Amino acid sequence: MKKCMGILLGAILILTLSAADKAPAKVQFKAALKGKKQIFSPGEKVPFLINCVLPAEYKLSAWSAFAYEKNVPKTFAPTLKLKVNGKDPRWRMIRFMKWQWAANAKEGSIDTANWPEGDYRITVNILVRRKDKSEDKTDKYYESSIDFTIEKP
Amino acid sequence: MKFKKILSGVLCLAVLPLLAIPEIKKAPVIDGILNDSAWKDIVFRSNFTQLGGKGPAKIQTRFKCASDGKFIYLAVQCDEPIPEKMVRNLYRDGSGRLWENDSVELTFIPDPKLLFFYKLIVDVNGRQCGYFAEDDNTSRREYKYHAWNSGINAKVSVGKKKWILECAIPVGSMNFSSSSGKNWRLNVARNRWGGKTPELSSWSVLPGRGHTQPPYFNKVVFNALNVENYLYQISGISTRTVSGKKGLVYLVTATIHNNTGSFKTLNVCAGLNMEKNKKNYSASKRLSLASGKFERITLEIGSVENGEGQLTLDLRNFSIKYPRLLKRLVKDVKVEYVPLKMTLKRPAYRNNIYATMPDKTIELMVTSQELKGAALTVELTGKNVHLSRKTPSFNGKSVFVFDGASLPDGRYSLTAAARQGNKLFKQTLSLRKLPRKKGEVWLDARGVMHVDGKPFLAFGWYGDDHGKAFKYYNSILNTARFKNMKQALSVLDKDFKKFGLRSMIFPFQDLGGWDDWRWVVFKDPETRRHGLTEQQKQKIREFVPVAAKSEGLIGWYMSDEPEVRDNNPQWYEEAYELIRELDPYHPCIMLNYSPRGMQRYYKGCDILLPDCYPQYFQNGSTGKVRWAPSEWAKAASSLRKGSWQMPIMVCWPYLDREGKIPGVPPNYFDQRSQFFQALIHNAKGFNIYTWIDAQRASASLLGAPVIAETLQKMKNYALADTVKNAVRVSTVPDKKHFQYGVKKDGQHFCLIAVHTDTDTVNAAFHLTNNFTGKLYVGGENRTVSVVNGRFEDKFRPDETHLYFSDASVARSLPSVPGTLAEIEKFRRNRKKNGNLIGQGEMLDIEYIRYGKEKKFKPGVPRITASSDWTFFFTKTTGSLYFLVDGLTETEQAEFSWSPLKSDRNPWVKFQLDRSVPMKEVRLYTQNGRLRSGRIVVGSKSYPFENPAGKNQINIVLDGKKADTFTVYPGKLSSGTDRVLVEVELY
Repeated sequence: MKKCMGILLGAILILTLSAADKAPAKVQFKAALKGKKQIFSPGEKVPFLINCVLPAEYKLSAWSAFAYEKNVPKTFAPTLKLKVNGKDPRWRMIRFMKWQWAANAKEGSIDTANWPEGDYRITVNILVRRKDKSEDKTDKYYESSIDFTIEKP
Repeated sequence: MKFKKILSGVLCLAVLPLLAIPEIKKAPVIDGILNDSAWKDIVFRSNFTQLGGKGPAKIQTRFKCASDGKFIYLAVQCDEPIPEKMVRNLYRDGSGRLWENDSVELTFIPDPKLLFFYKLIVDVNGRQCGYFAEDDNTSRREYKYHAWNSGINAKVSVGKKKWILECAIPVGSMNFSSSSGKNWRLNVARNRWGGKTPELSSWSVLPGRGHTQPPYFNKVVFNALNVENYLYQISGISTRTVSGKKGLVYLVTATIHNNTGSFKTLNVCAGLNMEKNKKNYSASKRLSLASGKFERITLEIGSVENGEGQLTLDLRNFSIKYPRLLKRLVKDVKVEYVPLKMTLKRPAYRNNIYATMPDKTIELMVTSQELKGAALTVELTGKNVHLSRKTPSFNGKSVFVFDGASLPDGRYSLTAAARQGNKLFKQTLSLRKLPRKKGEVWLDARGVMHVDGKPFLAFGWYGDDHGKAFKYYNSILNTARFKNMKQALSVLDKDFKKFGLRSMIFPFQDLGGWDDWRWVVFKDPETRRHGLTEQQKQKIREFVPVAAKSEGLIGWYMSDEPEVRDNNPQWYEEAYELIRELDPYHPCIMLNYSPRGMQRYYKGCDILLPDCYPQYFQNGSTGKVRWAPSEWAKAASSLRKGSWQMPIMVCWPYLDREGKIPGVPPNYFDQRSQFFQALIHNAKGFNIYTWIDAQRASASLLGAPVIAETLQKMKNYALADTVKNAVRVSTVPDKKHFQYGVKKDGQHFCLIAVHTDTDTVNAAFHLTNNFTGKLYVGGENRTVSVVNGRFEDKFRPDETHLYFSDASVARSLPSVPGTLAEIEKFRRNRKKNGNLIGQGEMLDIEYIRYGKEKKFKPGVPRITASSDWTFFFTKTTGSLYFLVDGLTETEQAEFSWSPLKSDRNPWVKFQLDRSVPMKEVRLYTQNGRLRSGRIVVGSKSYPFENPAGKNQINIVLDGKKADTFTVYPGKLSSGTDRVLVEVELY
């Protein structure tokens, strides 16, 4: 009886572990502006670096960028006619671009066409996925922010 | 006419126009010329009117105003037909005297509730001074002023018939409230002194006489301004100097708050401008903050040098094209790299050990953040003395003790040294052990003055020696400039030996042989704008050591309100260093009229003696808030332990600012309030203003000696430091400014409580020592029962109570109701029944109205004389109306009459406003001076003789009706006593 129980418990344990992967250990992600420039004109592309360190079994699959409402000028969403999602004012967010599927991307850029003047903290989002699996269940998302200023020339 | 003025005032309030201040895209070049295209399309605003509703200004002013959202631009054009007559004294930036020059005053009020505003004064020389004013929370529309570093860029040009001010003021140098927006109030005003009569005028129509009338300032809209862009706060500034690889690094840490409603990226810039070497250092750091967030940030300013300077912390936006100042904070700082900080805990005063100090221990505390773990040595060296203490591993804070009593007199060095690696850090301070000197004065660790080793509660008058000794007066402030050393020493000795008064005198004496109070070498302010001159140093070296030998000296009076004359604090700091070296036995004492003055000048003295004059008026109002003495005492004590206070005992000013309500001298409750508030906040001595003037006010004549007696009898409590958190108080109604504090003397304590408002209040006290028993109310012959520290008591308007646990002290104090009754009786007796010309106690304004202005109310006689020997004090009023104010005796010559020496036929005539039966004239003469004379009524003459030299001469008349009588003094005894002190008619 004891032996059966042990086998059963072990099986349950194995099944549990494989059903939901833990967050991969030692994922480091930091986005940073590329170069020293911190002030951009509306319409200029804001280049940034994607610095991430991933465990061997993971790869960077895509990146995107969005803004929390509190981190951009008040006129941002209305000017670009973007929707603000979320109820909690701390986390209301504005999506202004789609996911960019670029495996192992090292850098990206944000198009600031028609962006109103002001200071911005934009959140860069990366999607990290296991190399041996393509299911969404193992997908992990990480965020890092970049700060810059938009000013008309 | 009055109705029209009222109506226009009401209309001003109700229908103030809302003026749009235009936006400009291109900033003007600030050069004072105004030919810039930026000004082209902007209209001049003019129609300035004289203050006080006196109609259009005779000489006009006009201005333009615009803004680009970052700066407010103003161009002010002042017509000036006689530019050579403009008043253009040289003052520095920040001087409080700029308004005394031809000048422009700009006031900006971003707060719709008018609770604060910004003011700039720019004079015709281009010098500027900025103020930030905030409401003092008394519902009186009175404001407290602070210095404001506006960052103004101002240029002035003077032409043939006008002068122009052009300026730009950064919006970011102002703070805003949550209700600030585009709607402000603005005023442009002008001070013109060069014409026949001075003219103060304003763009806003101001009904009152002063410039500060916010409710009447015109309303404007700054279309270009978004105040929310400037809603930042800088708080919690701290600084530290450390050693870096390339020299000293000044660390500036502050908390930045973003209240703008938007995420912001800021450029935080710290600038250090050093005073002596005029070098500028800076550092900046980028900071991003979400709205509503704050962050603590540290900037490192490198390669600095030790010294004093000004730190400017600016928040700027991140912009190439539109850099703008968003917030500014300016602070005076000291860069001091002291890796080893030495603090001499004992002796506490001037690093000196005095022979009469009971405790001659030398106690040194050494602290260091950087040298923890180092081996620390402290050495005390002097002539044939070398003592050493060692700590093998310094933990950052160590105390070292030496027995000063066993040391011979002399100068010593105390050196702390620590080695870290191959670097040796050393710090040295000097101390002196002084031989005994009779009358030596020193302060203990609480700031209590000791004379000959005994605690001394200074109490005395500003001004004269008042001609006799009084048991409870022990000091005097003598502002004389002496003719020569002999006179100086003679006065010091006389005041001390004859009247028991120790003197504070000016150490700055020309001793030029003249008798007229001139300063030449020390001319003020002309010679006090920089450091001491060699000639001044020489004069000080000649005078101070000699005068210091007098036992009658208590201290050196460094200055009387130097901020009024814009003296350079550096001058006093140098003088202070020199004087304390020359004379270690007497402290230096400085008088200022404001907390700002104290902050500027405190380094030039050992004792601050601020004068806080609350200004009392006939309708019960005061010029300052009634708790101002507390604020002054707190400010002084925070800068110098052992500070004193100068309460006012006389009427000042004689009329309120609007020229309507007469001033009055403080009553007895007002007097007590001033003294006991100061004591609660640790004042340790008093000098009271001012002997001469106080001699005509009943409350001052009788109140001052009683207060002196009260304080001296409770001296131990008065000199004790107030115990922190010893009592909690609540009042009904709630009174935020109710003052209270507990003092201890051994096992006993005293609770001092002062109600600083004009209503009746109930106060509930809770002593945290949980005392249970009786407390004896000093001078009131009553007790209060206290249970577990709690009791309640009632306070009448402006009332002070002193609660003692020691019954004997409480009972020894002069009776409060008794003193009030005496004052009332004295005052009543001054207006004698049947005296047809007596006025009784008069207000200061009445002496002026009758004596100078010849404006009489019914019952006041017209008094004229062949001549009138006046003094400086009576130049304006003359002496004659002191003959009917009910004082039949006076210490003060000014309050009596004598003819000029050249007057061979002196007379004094009294003309009533109606005919009355004249039965008797009574003459009062000083020390029997008047020996004969005659009274003339109509054609009848009544001679009199006073061979015995009595002070009162009664002359009986025939009782017939008349409206005029004349006194003709005849023979006088020799001497300088005054001929008539009082005249009565029955």
